[in-house]
Formats: sequence, structure tokens, C-alpha cells
Amino acid sequence: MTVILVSSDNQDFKVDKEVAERSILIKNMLEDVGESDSPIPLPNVTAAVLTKVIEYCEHHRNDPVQVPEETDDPRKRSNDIEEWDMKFMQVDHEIILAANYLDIKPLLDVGCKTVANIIKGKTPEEIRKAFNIVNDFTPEEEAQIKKENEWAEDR
Amino acid sequence: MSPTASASIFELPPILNSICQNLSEIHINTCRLVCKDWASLFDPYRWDYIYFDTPSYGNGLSKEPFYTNLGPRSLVAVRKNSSRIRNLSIPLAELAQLLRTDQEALSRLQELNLRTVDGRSDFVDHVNEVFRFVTKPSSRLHKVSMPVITTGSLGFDYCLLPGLAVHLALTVLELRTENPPDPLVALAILKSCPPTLRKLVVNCLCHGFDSSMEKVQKIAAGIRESEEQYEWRRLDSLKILVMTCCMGGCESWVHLPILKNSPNLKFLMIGGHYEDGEVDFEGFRETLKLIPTTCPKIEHLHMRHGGQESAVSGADLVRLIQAYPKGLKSFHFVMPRSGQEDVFSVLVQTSATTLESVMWEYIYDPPTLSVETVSRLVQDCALLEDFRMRCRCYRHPRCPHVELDVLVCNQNKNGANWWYD
Repeated sequence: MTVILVSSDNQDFKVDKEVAERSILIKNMLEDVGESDSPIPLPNVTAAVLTKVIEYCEHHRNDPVQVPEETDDPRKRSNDIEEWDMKFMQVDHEIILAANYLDIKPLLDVGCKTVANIIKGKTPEEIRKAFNIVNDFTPEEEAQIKKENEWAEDR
Repeated sequence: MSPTASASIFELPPILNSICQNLSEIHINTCRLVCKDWASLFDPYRWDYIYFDTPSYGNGLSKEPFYTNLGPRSLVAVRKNSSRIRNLSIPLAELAQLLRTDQEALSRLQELNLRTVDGRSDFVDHVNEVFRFVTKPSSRLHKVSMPVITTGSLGFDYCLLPGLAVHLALTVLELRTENPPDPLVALAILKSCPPTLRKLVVNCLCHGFDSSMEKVQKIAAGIRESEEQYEWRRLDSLKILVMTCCMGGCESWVHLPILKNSPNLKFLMIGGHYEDGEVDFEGFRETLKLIPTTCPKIEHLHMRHGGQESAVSGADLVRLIQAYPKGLKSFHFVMPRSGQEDVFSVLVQTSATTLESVMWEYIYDPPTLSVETVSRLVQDCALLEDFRMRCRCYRHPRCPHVELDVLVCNQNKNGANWWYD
């Protein structure tokens, strides 16, 4: 069984129901609507991003759906991004926004881990470069934050 | 990546939460130096984890306690921001003080590690106050680690226990018994655990009670009397159980009842530091016999009972492994004197497709295990990535285990350390 997803720029995507249901938002929508052929509009996701999200869901279609029990894994590690996922995430961060909106937790997790890995080990200036951010601190404000940080780092 | 996209990622709380879960405090502080927006966005995450160190009073000259790692100014800041703290490690007296100044303090607290301070009677003086906070109906605490020490004449308020039993947010409980432990209080707490508990860690409850079995049995008798008052509850959600015993006195009245009530257990570690001649291993053997029937879903079995002699024979271990025909994911054990080859071959038979970690300890020599058998285990178990051997010789060059040790070191695919959480 397939469903039709419509991106914000009005492009239709025909997707296996099983793949589309990796998104909890879509899963809930389908449950609410019941048996219906009507397309599902996704006004917050562009075609370019939706293409990538569907690619992710296709790749992970056979993964067990995350249940709370999985957090019991005694070896849960923080930096365990699969190689495929790592390459996949080297794209626009709009995917993270889409994963949040569509409620696809594994995709959101892997996206956030990727962002955290970009931040780790960088100086503030390097982080600004990585995320296109302008330094808007006055020297006094910057000194104040540094002072606040100091006691925390001494702990 | 467009600037708007990056900006909005960090402005959405669920996304920022998820990002910060992967960052340590030092990274959070760096993020606060990026720009004004980030300074305020990342600020709450500085308060996620607060560690109160042991206070000092400047050689008795100062009335106010000084916390080396917090500093005097910072203590005020911690109080002011207590509603932001999610994870707190603190001595009991300091927590009691914090709660006294602000009833609504620590409203968002999720993880609490309670400690005692040497030379102070923290537990006796503050246990009821603190326990009242832990069992407060509005509490969001899901992980509590606390000491259990004898309360002497002042006494523990047992009326607080029904509050614990219905504290359904609690999923992790660690009871650390410090010297001298109070087995009756610890047992009453254990029997009042909420059914939502997923992980339980219990230290030795007979520790510090003299090495004579007589005394231990005396406590056990007292405990049997209290059986009528508190019944053991079913812990259907319990997946991870870690129990240690120093003297072999805990099995019958702590370990066995917990195991009998934990049908969905996946990870079991039984540890100990038994010394020679202190204890016979009857209780330990009894526990091993019981595990397969009461806990049929175990995937990780770690038995580290210590001592100079293996508590169990090779045949005991073989029976235990065979009781889990679907295979074990990890198996840690003390090598028995006899039947070493059999243990390995039955492990390959049942767990070749599941085994990820094997660790065994030699407490005497020489090994009767052949290098071929060890190599076969590594070859046949495709998922095996953590493969370790320990012996008491500390790698002495003439240790008879050296040959095996070298083999194990060479086979250890990534040197991963097995750990549990």
C-alpha cells in the first residue's frame, strides 16, 4: 500500500505506507483518516528536503521502531552514528527541522549528534564559521560570559 | 547551510535539548561565547549537572561552609537556579539545607546522587527529610543513588515508604550500603520499589557485620520476622540488576527474593569480594540454580564472586549456559578448576550468533584451557568484540596464563570495554 505526500512546493511523492510511517506525524495522520487515498500535505517540508527524508526512511525501513526498551541496552554509546547516516547528514540542516516536524526520532537523534560533533573541540570563532553566525558581543559582554564560565569550569 | 536554518535549529527546544545531551559542560560554555542569542539559549544547560563537593570551614574560623568546587558566590547562584538543575550530586545535609530554604527547590530534578561526608552524621540527621523529598508526589526524579547506613536510635520513618511504592517516575535505584549498613531499612526500601523500576543496584547488606556467619544469620533472623510486615513486590519492568555481597550473607534474603520477582531481567551482575574460608558458596550455587527458572530472558550474565576458589564447577556453568538456548550476549565468569574446555564449547554451541563479550578470570593456575579452544571461540562468534582474560598474576612473565593472555590481547578486536548503565 502506498500513500501520497505533498511537499510545501506542491510536489507529489508516492511512498510505501510502511516507509511513510517511520514518521510518527504521518502515522498518526493515517490512523486518524483511516482508509483513504487522499494525499497528505506537508506544508513545512520542501520537495528537496522531503526527498532526503524519504531516502532516510527507505534506508531504515527494516529497523525496529524505537521503543523505550531499547534504551536498556547496557552498551548505549553517545557517538554511535552509522557510516551511512554520517554521510547522509552532510547536508542542509533543514533535514533536522523536518525530522522534528515529522516526528522521526532516530533521524532527529542522528542529526543532533552530527551538530554536536561539529561543535565539539571548536573555539567560539570556529563555531561561528561553521554555522554562519556573527559575533555580536561587546568586549564587556564577552568578558562577563567568560567570568560566568570560569567558576563552572573550576568545579 | 543557510544562516536561517542554523538559527532556527538552535531555537527549537526539542532540537536544542537533543543537541545538548551530546555535549559536555565545557562545550556548552564555549557555545555561550558564540553570540548573544547562543549565550541565552545555552545558558539553561549549564545547570543540568551540579556537583556539591565536601564543604570546608576554613579551619573552623568561618561559620559559613565553603565549597571548593563551587566557591562561596556560586552557592548563591546554585540556590537561585535550583529549579534548572536536572542532575545533582550532593551530601545529604546540603540537600536538606537547600530544601529548608526553598520548599519548591529542585523542581526539575531528574537524577539525584546522595552522599555522606566523613565525620558527619548526614544520614542519621537528614534521611527522613531527604527521603520525603525523594518520594514527593510531584517529583520527577527517575534516578536515585543513595547510601543506607544504620540510623541508630533516631530511626527511619517507615511511613514514607508507601510514597516510594507509587513514585512511578523512578526507574533507577542504587542503594549503596556504607559502614555500618542498616539491612532492615535497605530491605524495607527494596520491598517498596515502584513497579516501574528498570535498573536496581544493591550493595552488600551484610558488610561490616563481623566476619562470623553467626552474626549474619542473626540479622537474617531479624529480617525474617519483618517478612510479615513487608512483602516482596513484583518488579516486572526490571531489566538490569547489579548485586554485590562481601561475605556471602546476602543471597538468601536479598538476592534470591529479588531474582524471584524479576521475570523480565536482561542483565544480571552478581559481584562479591569473598575471602577464603569466610563463607561457603552454598548460597551462590543456590542462586545460580534458580536464575534460569525465575529470569528466563537474561542476555547478559556477569558473575564475579571473587575469592581464591571458584564457587562453581565447570558442570554448573555448562548447565547455566544451556539454560539459555537462545544464546547469551555477554558472559563474564570465574574460570572453574575443572571442565574449562566444556564451558567454552557449550558457549559456542548456544551463543555463537549472539555473543558480544566474554570475560573470564583465573584465580589459580595452571590453566587447562588450550589455545585452540580459545581461538575457536573467537572464530565462531562473529559478533564477539570484547574479549578479555584476567588473572591474579598481574602479567608476571612466567605466569602460566601468559600464552593465553597474548592470544586474547591479539584477538581483542577493538579493545572495547564492556560496561553497563
